Amino acid sequence: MLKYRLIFEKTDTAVFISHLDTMRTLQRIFRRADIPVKYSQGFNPHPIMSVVLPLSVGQSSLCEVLDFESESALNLKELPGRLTPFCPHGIRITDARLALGKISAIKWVEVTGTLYGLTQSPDLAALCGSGATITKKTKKGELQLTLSECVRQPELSANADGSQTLRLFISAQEPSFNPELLRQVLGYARAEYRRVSLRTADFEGWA
Amino acid sequence: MNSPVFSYLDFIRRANFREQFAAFSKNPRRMLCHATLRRALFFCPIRAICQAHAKMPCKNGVNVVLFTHMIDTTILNEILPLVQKPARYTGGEYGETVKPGAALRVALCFPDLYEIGMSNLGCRILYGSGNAEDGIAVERVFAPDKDFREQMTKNGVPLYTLETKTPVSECDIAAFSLGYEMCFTTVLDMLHLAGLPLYSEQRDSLTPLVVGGGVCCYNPEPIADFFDLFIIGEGEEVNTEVYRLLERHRNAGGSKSAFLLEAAKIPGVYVPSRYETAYNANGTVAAISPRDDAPATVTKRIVRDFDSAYFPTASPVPSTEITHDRVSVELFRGCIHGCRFCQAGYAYRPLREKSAKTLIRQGKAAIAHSGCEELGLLSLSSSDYTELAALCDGLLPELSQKGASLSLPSLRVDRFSLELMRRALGLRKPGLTFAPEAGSQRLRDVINKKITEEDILNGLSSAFSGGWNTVKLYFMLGLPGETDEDVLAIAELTRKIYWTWKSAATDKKRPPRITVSTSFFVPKPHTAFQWAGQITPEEYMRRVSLLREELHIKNVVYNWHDAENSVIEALLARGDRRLSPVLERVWRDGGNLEGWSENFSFERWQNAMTDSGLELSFYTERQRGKDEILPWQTISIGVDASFLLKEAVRAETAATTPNCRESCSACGAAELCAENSVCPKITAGGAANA
Ligand code: SF4
Ligand code: SF4
Repeated sequence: MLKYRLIFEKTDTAVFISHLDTMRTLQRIFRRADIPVKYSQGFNPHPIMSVVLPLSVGQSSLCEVLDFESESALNLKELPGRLTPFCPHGIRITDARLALGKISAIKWVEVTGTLYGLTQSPDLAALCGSGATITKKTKKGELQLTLSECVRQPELSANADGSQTLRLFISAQEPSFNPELLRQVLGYARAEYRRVSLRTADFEGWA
Repeated sequence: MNSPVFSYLDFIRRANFREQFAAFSKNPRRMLCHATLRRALFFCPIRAICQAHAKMPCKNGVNVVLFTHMIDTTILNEILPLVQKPARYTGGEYGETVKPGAALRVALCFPDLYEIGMSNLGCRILYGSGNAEDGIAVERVFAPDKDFREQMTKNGVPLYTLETKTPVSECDIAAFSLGYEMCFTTVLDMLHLAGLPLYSEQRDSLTPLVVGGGVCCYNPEPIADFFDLFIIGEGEEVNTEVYRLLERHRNAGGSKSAFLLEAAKIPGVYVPSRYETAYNANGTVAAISPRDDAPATVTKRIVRDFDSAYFPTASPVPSTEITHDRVSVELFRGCIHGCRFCQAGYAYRPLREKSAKTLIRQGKAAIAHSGCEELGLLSLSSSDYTELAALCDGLLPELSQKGASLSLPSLRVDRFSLELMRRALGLRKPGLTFAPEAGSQRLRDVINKKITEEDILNGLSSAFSGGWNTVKLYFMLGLPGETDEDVLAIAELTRKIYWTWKSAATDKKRPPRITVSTSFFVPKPHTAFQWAGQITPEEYMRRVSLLREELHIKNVVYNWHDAENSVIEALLARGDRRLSPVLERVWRDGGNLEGWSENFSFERWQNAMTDSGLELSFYTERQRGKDEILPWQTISIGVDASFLLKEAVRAETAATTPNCRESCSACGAAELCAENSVCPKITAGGAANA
């Protein structure tokens, strides 16, 4: 039995497909492309595949990770080309590999964001170093996250149309950090965030 | 809702490019010379992107560009993150058809939410068959849910098509699929969101032409004033004829009235503005007079050769979960049974089957294309399909290899179908459904529903001993001639079902789940009961209580439909043209998406009726005279009115009528001349040869 990993993009209209629907959509993409996935045992068998690090609705990504198992040996080079034609608009499989790297080794996500309606220009670097906290709502109640633990190397630059571009690293897991939470400290009207790459604890590329 | 926050047409009117380019075409909104397009883009004052959709040569040799706006997707990106299930409003699904260069753009409007509309097979058929035509783009439009609707209005986003984000007002046709009466106010809301005037006579320009189709068009009178034309019957073929005619008229710069005059000559097209209705002092219809050469009756169109008819095996696959999340094939159209209350049973006559060979091919293709987990075998009554076993045998191996399953709704429960289900579903044992509709054999004879208590109990006995334990039973209360005895017979039958479980069940520790549901009978046009009165809602509730008292049986759950909803359904089903202002009023008072019970308000309807000086009970409870002119009699479903009348008389004496396979009752549908139908061939003389 072999564990595979796909890297895929989720952009354009596909950013509005929820995490759960993305899973269902990917399962159907595999069926359309006729690529055999291993099924779980039991009364209600389902394909063994998972999209790690759920992405919020409305955010785009160039580096989503899908892990799946298959009984057959698959040609990794061909896999993206076989799957992409069966994807909805905005989803594109960019890479296939064996699932060797540990998911737990992903510590940071490189994110860019276009911020609209930002009135003040806060000193993000200072904010991140100051021990300021942000409130995260979870099913179990509210959680206080320390910014310095969740955000690294923020850079803000102005664009010609009055919007701002934000580039930063956010914590991928333990704790997971949704860049939308930055609205609390930045006070923008609207932001479009995009995951650009996944990094290890020392900001190296994760494979 | 009374004061629209935006009107898209207002934007267009304010836009001075309309005058600027008036010289170039009679219809400046749509046609521009190539050279001026750039200027048009520059002048466009709304937050929209102008798009050249198609180039074509015009009369004087200048290159004319068909041009429409596309709404600005940056606004969508702003508002979509704020609403529930935004994937319903984006398009971009796998399998959608985008034809940016099409010369004719049709907005296929479904007056309900995405998850309902995308579950509708008819909608997929019309989408696919239209797009299969050269130069025609059919694009989907669904009603926005409340939160998105609010954002659209607030941000000046007009109702748009999912494929190219073209505003509906810029399409050539807005074609509404009218599947049930409670969607009527949603239609008005969608016209409003599109920025179009509600009434046909207020819309001067030829495009967008507002067209209606679907079962509700068998009595289109309550909504007649809002529509330019209706397509009666099955749309696969006639739609294209209408599209092509419109394209010719538009290209020639023709007027709407000239087009409608021509369109009325297409068989199956009903142009309501060409008919005048006069009323008697007592409120009944005095006369329906066609103007000029409009036909006295419009007969429904059918797909004559159903086996070779277009079928969409490659439709869009929603990226978000919908109500019926599966693909399906259609085993046959029509039904042999002729239950006297059933509009579908009469309206889809005659029965036309698809061959198992065709269905196996279409089913495999649909599963392969979509990657769905479930293939539904659809029809009005699947057990009547002659090649059912062969069909399942042909499909099952490939489906199970793909990990997909078959679903078989509307199967009669008997030994044969249980065996089929066992093979199709393996360990899964979904609930079994029976629709005896009436509790006593006498009343079942009245309605010509030929299912006996023995059938039910035998079927269930096999099911219970095979490990099934969930049963749903559907009945109607208020059928013509129903007595308290008939009502109580429902409880009696339910008790017998419980005893059957006790004696047949293999595992008695797992209790059965028996659900009894009753609906409130709504008399429908073009049925044997089209003359019947609906009982009062008070009387319906009395019968519900009577039954409820008797249904205190272990493991039995009783559900009943709300009375008020069915009263309004009855009003609209057999309404006349005087209801158009009532509908407008209900919509203005906030009526929208009323198929969802949380949006329905009976009071709103009562107020609108009172203010229009109309009596609700006149439409719902009144028994019509057999010689009365019925508002829908311009429309023919191919079944003779005399046959329906005969059926109504037979119902009074509880005399049953054989089904179409046992013997032909010469209902008239044979003259629709379908290929491979159940009907006897028409002889040269024109009479059905029984
Ligand atoms: S079996 Fe009766 S109720 Fe069912 S579709 Fe046919 S005519 Fe209608
Ligand atoms: S003509 Fe005869 S066989 Fe055909 S639908 Fe009518 S009753 Fe049935």
